[in-house]
Amino acid sequence: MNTLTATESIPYILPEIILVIGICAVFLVDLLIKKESKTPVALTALIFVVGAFLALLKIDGLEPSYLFSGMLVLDKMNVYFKYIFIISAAIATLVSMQTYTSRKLNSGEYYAFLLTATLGTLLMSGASDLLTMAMSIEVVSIVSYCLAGYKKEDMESSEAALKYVLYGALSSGIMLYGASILFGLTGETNLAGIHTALATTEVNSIALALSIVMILGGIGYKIAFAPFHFWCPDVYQGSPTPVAAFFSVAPKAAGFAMLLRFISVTFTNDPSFTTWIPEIESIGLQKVLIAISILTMTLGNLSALNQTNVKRILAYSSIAHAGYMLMGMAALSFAGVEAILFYLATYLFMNFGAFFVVDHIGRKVGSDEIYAFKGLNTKAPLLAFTMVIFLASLAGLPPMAGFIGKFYLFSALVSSELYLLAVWGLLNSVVSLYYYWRVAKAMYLEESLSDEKVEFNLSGGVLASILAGFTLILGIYFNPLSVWVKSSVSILFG
Amino acid sequence: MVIADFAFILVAAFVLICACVVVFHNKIIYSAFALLFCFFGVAGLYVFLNAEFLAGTQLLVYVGGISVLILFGILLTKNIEDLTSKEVSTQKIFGGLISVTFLGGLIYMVNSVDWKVSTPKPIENSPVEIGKLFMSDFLIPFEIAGVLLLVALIGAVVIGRDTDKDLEV
Repeated sequence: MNTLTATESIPYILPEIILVIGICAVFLVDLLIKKESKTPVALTALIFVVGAFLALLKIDGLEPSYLFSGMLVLDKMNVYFKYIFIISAAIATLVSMQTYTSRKLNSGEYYAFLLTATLGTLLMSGASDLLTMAMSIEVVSIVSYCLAGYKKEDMESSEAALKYVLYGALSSGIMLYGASILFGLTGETNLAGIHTALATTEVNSIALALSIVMILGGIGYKIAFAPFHFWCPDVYQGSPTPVAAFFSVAPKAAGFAMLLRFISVTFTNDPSFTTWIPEIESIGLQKVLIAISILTMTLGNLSALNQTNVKRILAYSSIAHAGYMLMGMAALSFAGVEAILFYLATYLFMNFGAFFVVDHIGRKVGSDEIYAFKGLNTKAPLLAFTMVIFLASLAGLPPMAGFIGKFYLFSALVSSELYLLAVWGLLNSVVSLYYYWRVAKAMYLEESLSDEKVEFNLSGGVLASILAGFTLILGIYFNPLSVWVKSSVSILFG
Repeated sequence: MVIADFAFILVAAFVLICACVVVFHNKIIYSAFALLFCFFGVAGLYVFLNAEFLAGTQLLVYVGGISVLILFGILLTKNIEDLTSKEVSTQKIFGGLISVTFLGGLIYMVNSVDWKVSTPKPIENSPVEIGKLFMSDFLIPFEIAGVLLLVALIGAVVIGRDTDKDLEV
């Protein structure tokens, strides 16, 4: 084990430092330039996101270590997640630049919040202490409330923000209570320290179970698993669409990073999930995870069936996808973790792509309802074609990336001998076909309501094509990604 | 020792009663004042735990800052004084059942567990030690809190200011 002091740790958190400087820089640039043109602000944000990406490349090879006396950690899995967060921040910035050129919503605060949310997710994936876990979740949450309520004059946006705050406050409270029980049992806040305490002394398993469930509640709110998913459709529908797309990817991935680290570091004795601390056997952690994943994907898919708003459909579908990924968690194996990591990478491109198209339609036609998509094929072939790629990938059809992601998940389940769960997941994927198909049908088989032009402009088309390209390529030529995932699966223990 | 126990029970009961008023009172202004007294009581509990610095901070931040802000918020909102909470009775029954079960579970748990007890003597000059820890072991949470507060402040301004001309869609 390699624990570094504060001054030694600074090179290891270079991406985070660059993002913090970026937040301040965006505010300053916003103050210094004229009100009319806001492109420099967006460009500043983009430059710092790229800077963080370069810094991440630089720290990629560093030796896995505990930083800041065990408050944060840098290991292979952490770096993998950080790539996902920074890429989604870059896409969100690019989509926002597209979206807001015509509007004046494009202010400096917006990009600063986006950078802060990214910073929060980076910290969430590296948190190895109950204190940093709670703090980083709060950073992401507080910024999310502001972003969700950003369109103040829009009633839906304000309602979304208020619901988000109420649910967020409740689940943070529950998580902190759970953390305080865990601290009371072990006298440690550091995850590795808690593991040592649990492995050496016997603790009351009811109290331990209660604290685990409560902490899962706090993390589950970020992942949006049932029964902590109620905020999700309203918030996605009410928020500005690029923000909704960002919410559905980055904080969710950060929640999974935190869940993986919390469960594996605290409760397993070795990195390969074979032996656990004794109390966990009696609690039945795997059964809890299986129940949550079944509940989440079933509720998500069934609620999506009769929705008419495409943003809401995507919100419910994102809940269902969280359920699929939780199946990988429930497998409690290396293969399951690999499947989650792979799935998140594919999910990043297909979900951002789908939201981007919805955003575009929403601005041109003025509605997110399914009827706005009618006859899109004749009006805007590229738009319709990319949307079909994203939808097919979300539904898990070959040869899209989503298919490979699901394939990894189900094979992880089979190797953990969870056959029933795998069958249930397959059934759910079949159900999900129905609502993705409804959108595709509206675009290709139904008559358009009007003849107005809705096709992408050049940069929008390029962005959508890139996202669709990744969704296709990762479905056909997925070997490099799966090799990278295999090498990233190691979590720092001890 | 007995007097200290008696005082503790008194303060704890005070906190609990105030908290109940916060939750159950129909008028929001009563709830807000009860919350203020509740924060006072919690500061008292910190004193019993030998955390004088925390007790002082609690008084400054929660009693002096947050409660007063909540009261201002209520005073500046139109028609909020007459607002009474509207709950459906089924919600009350289900909510009540869940809460009581949960409370029972928590009480059972708190009594049945051997809690880890801290053995070292309380530190005399705690603000100095806390300051040192903030700059060493707890540097990262301290810095995260800094960013968090900065963004929360700006976020509050963004949400709270009037919809001005240059934010029109």
